[in-house]
Amino acid sequence: MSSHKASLGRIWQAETPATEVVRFWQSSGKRVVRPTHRPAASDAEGKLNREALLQACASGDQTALHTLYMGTAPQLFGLALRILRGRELAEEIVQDSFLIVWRHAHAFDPARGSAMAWLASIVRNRCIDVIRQRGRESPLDDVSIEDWETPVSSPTDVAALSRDARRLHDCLAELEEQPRRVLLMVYYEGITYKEAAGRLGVPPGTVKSWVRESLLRLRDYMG
Amino acid sequence: MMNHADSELRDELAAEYALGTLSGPERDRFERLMSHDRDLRDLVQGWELRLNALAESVPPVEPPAHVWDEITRRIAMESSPAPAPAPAPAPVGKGWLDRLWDNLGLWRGAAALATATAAALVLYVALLPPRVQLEEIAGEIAALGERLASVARQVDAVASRPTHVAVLLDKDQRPMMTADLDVADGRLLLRLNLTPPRDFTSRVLQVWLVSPDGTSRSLGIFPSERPGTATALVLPHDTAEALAKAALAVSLEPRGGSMTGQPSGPVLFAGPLMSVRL
Repeated sequence: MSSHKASLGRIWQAETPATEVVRFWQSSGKRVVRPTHRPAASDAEGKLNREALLQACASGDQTALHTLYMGTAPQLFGLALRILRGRELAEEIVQDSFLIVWRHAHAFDPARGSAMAWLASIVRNRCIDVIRQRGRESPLDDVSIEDWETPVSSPTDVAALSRDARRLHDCLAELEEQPRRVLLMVYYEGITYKEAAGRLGVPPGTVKSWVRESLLRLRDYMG
Repeated sequence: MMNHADSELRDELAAEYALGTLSGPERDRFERLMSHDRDLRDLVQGWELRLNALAESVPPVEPPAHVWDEITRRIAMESSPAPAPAPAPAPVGKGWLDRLWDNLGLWRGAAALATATAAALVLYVALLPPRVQLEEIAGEIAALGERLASVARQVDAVASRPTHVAVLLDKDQRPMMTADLDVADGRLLLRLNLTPPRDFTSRVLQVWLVSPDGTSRSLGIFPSERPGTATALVLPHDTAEALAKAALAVSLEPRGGSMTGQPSGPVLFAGPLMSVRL
């Protein structure tokens, strides 16, 4: 368990502060590659779940990675597109992310959260890194204000969500209008408080306190 | 012991990191903090798992087929040079550079390459400034005054005569990059002479140490693709010693560097280190 966490931590700290000019990269442990092409892990009913697929990836099963990709890449690509607003960059991020998943599948701990949330956090972190370093392909001004709204609207959409996502949805529904909108805007756009403040025409401090309010509620609600 | 206010602040920062609202420099600083602090990493992970349930609500968009193709290609790249459960220590010297090219899925013609490397190397060594001259210059500068003496030392340090050099050739045997290594102080000076004809809008040059046994490790991202760009690195002593017996290779990687820890893009040029104590 603790070694899982430590290795998961490596994903976030791949980059170490290094010498003067060039950034050094922590070389993580050598991956033992097994050329397996046996069928992906499946349960008795033949129903695949993402957590099991990740575990199969950890043991070197590339067909499991493909099944996982088929099931999750559209969602993840949609997320990256929404944040980055550029197809080429979003494609690159999805590629990078699945390579990270392949290498670090062993770090996923199903006791701590869903596979989808884990995958999304990898994709989203890469997106944020990229836009903090080099900006987006197209400016944010293109975004219509309606886009900030949560994409989930219809009850059938909500029914299709995972348990965690439904709880999050319920929690968001209880928030005040401004804190909720700002949290979603910041999440789906990957922008800073300052950028959000500029867009909404309020001081950054206000945005920050709205987001803080949302986050505290979320923590209380979801544990 | 942490007080309540501290732990609230840590949790707040962890949430902001997970949400991605920190600015670039703040984000870098937080990552450095996090790398030494497992509790902080746990806090961040808690927030990531909470917040990223939002990802499920995004309308899915089918990625183009080449995205998956590229993933499998990069996985294959990563696994092909996997050193087979080493039967015997790989013979050092003859042939191992050839294996480097082969391993990295590159061009052939290693014999021609070796000849070209040797020729380019002789030329390069001949052009190195003799140490005496530098010391004279440094002496003159030092004479100008106490404050300038430190500058002179810097000049001397940067221009000190290396113990090993390398000329990195591309597949057409053009000398793309030169490298000076001083094993004693671990200083590695890299100079890009020519810009590879590649698209650099979202790609960077990454520098690798390739050992005689075929394993490679990253030395870093080269700062620019502009010809004439030079960069100095100070390597840990054991890395410098390993490099003296190894080769340098430069690959084309996504911005931020290869995500696999191994070259994932094409290797554009490479060359072995050679001792200049002839």
